[in-house]
Amino acid sequence: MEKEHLVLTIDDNPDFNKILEAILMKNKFKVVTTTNAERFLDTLKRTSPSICLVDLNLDKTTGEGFQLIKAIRNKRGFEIPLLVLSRRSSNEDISYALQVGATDYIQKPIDEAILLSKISFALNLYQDESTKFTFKKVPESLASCNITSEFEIQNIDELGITIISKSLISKGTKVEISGELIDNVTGKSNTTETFYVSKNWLEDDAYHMYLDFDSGDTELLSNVRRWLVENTK
Amino acid sequence: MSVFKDKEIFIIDDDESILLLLRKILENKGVKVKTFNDPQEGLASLTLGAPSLVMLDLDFSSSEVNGFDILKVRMADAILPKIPFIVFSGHSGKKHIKQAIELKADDFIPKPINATVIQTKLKKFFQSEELKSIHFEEGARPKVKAKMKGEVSHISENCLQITSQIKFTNKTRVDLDGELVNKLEATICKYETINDAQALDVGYYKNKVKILGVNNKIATNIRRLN
Repeated sequence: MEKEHLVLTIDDNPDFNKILEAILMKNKFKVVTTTNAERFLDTLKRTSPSICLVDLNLDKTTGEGFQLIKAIRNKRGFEIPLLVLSRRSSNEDISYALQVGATDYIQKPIDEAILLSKISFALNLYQDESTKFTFKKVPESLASCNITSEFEIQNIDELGITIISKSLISKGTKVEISGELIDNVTGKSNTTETFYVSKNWLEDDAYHMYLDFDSGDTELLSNVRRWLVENTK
Repeated sequence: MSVFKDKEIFIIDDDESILLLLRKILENKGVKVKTFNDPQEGLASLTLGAPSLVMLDLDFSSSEVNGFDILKVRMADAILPKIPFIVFSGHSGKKHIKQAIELKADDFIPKPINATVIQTKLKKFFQSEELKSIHFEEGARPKVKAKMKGEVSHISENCLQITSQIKFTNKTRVDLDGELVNKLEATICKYETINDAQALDVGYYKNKVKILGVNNKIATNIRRLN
């Protein structure tokens, strides 16, 4: 490890903090542990930790950890990886913590290997193939999946839309698009329209993909034209 | 690519034989056609969708309104003037044509209907007509979700590898669903790509994806996977 990383933690249990500190120091991390939100935020202001570990239920007050996550994200943005620790393991908690800005989730009682792997992973200390765990092949019957990601619409015309992104979608790919603009244009609510990528090009450091509307769908094309007529000068 | 591709034309005329003839001429060119023998009905249909073009007969004989009345209604509307109207008429006197142009008709075709004249006129019209479009500047671009197919080839306790037609850049947040995610009970997890994608075959890429939010249960499920 080239740089000594500072780990800032908060947990209201001093005994737990001692264990955490021992594990982290043994693995060449610098550690500051805190037991309340005030101390934590104060330390965060004065130092620049590489990563924060936040206990989800501080002072037995349900949800204070969530508030803290939101506060950190508000103050310092998404630069610092933020791992939550909790004995709670309900799916809602994990999901909510990730939604309000946590980078990952570690379940208590902590397992040293998992803790270190998650910290290293969050800090991107392991590049490419050298992850802590070994890969295994996924059975073919389970391999097929849907990948959903967010894109921005740059242009819409009578025959299709142009979306842009740092990621490229190959020509011919079937893409199912949903979003407020698609609802407005088609006059339907919560709709998903199927497109095919017919062109892609790189411009101003971003990939542009032109996606064709289903040309067999006369009603759709008619709705699109109507929307364009209403929204152009 | 033919200029008629994906075009839709509404034709308004009270003469069924003309509607039939025009439909045949246009459908031959690959145009989608809707016909209306009642001008009011034709006008009403324009408040829902929008065709690429409307062809309107000026000489109704059996109706209370004539083509000129329709053009007047169109002129008074906020939206309709933006839908092009080409009119046709058996009266091709100067006065007649002048009146249609004053009422903002986009072109005039004299009767009797001649297939070649119609095709040539429309071809010229569509060639000169730019596609209507709306451009969104940076910062004002609407966001959309795009869902595409992929295959998970390998998995570890904090990472998986996906083959797809998307070349993801580093640190892109993605959602995953499918049999594997269901079986692992990992629907609560979030996913983020690591590093830029590696190219495989033409148009296919391998992306490495972090699994965020793995709890003990999910980790056990991943270990047990075979």
